[in-house]
Amino acid sequence: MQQVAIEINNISKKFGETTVLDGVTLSLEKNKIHGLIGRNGSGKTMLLKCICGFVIPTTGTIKVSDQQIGKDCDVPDNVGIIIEAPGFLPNYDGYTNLKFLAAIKRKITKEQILATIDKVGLDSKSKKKVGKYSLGMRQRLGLAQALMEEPGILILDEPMNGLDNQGVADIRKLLLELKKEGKTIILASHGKEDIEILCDTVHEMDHGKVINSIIK
Amino acid sequence: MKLFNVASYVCLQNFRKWQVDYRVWIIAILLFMFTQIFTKEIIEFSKAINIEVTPWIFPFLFTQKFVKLLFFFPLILLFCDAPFIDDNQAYVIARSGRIPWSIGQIAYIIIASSIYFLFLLFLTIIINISHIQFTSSWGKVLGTLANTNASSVIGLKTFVSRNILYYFTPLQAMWFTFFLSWLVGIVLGLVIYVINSISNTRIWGVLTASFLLVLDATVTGFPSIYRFSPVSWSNLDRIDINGTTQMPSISYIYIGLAILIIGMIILGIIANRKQSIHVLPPI
Repeated sequence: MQQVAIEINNISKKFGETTVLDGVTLSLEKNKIHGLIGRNGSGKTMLLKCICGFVIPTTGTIKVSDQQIGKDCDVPDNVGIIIEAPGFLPNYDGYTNLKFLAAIKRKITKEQILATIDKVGLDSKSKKKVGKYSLGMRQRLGLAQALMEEPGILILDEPMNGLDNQGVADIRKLLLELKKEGKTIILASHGKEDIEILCDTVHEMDHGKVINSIIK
Repeated sequence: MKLFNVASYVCLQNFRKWQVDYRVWIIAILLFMFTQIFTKEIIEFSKAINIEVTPWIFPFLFTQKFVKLLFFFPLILLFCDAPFIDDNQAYVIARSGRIPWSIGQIAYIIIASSIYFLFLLFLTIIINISHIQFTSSWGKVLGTLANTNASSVIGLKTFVSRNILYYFTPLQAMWFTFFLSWLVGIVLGLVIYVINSISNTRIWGVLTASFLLVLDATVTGFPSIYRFSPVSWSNLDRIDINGTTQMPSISYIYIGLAILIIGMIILGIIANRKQSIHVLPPI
């Protein structure tokens, strides 16, 4: 049996009287691409935020790489994330933005940052300020920031958002390559085609619950 | 050491936004305007009597209750979005962890408050530089305004306190005004930070800090109540120097500010550890 990268055990989240996650239990294996699908408000993003440690569940536990969030660590280590709209400092170029973020952990070199920018289809030599980026360019830069420190796990919320057809094809190809490299990817998407092409497991959510799981 | 390094990067990320943060520019312009308006009469008086003023005007910006409100409110504007979570901060927190991130944000409040009051201090000198004579004494202009009715004759909006001139040398007054204002600024910033973190909104922290500012204006004339109004502690005219008044002593003020600051730092770190992180829309 494959090792489990992320173990989600009976997670619920309430805001006052409103239940946004209701008893979600999932085991997400390593080296696979796991898809979360569902309409807006189904709880996909909230579940991803719980996994990242940004939202503290009302009940239940989450373990990422055997570390319990909120007990062994506040935020999981070795995880790259895109949650909601990618946010960068608009008055700096893409490389400088990533350099600022990379300086926190100090795990990677300038060359690795530049290589990651090229990998996602942006021009690493460009001095264009992020404030002038298109939505698609910001999304690619968001993906670069998730990838640059070579995390073992990627948590990607709507990574194809704002990309044109070629961009979507490029990112799909990249995600399949990352899976071959041994990465575990959790992908939330509206796009059924993304899920069908990429995912090894698909979990459908509605009203905060997982209502259907398909293992391919 | 690693904790310090990570926290310092978190802190620095906030300052990197200043260039494009419209609030910073509005605050700079407001402080410039207010400083010009509220030092104008002193300069006009200086010109009228043909004697240059000394550069020690800064302590007297906070001696009149409504003028002080105007100089402190922009600080609330600067910190109103505490704990400063935006789309970019999500990537920062994911790398730093919650505790170093909290420490970094608190460090930002501490450093930003010092920059705010240093900027104000230098503005009082730079704006009036062509009428200033650099000397270590209070000088005739401030001396006359403090010890005669000249300030009411010229309609001075601030108040040149005789007590401040009597009990402090100019450098002492400048230093203590800056130091105490800086600490009070930290208290206001931390109040906003802690209450916004706990309530997951922006409004309650801002309202509480604003209440403390208005409280300072309200307690004017009631010396025994100054000890319960932290914002009042930045006014040198409200410190009991020789134990003869009901106003708080400097020791009381130092201890009070230390307790408030340390207590709120601890609360802020605990609140950020236990609360969910929500990205609110930009101000």
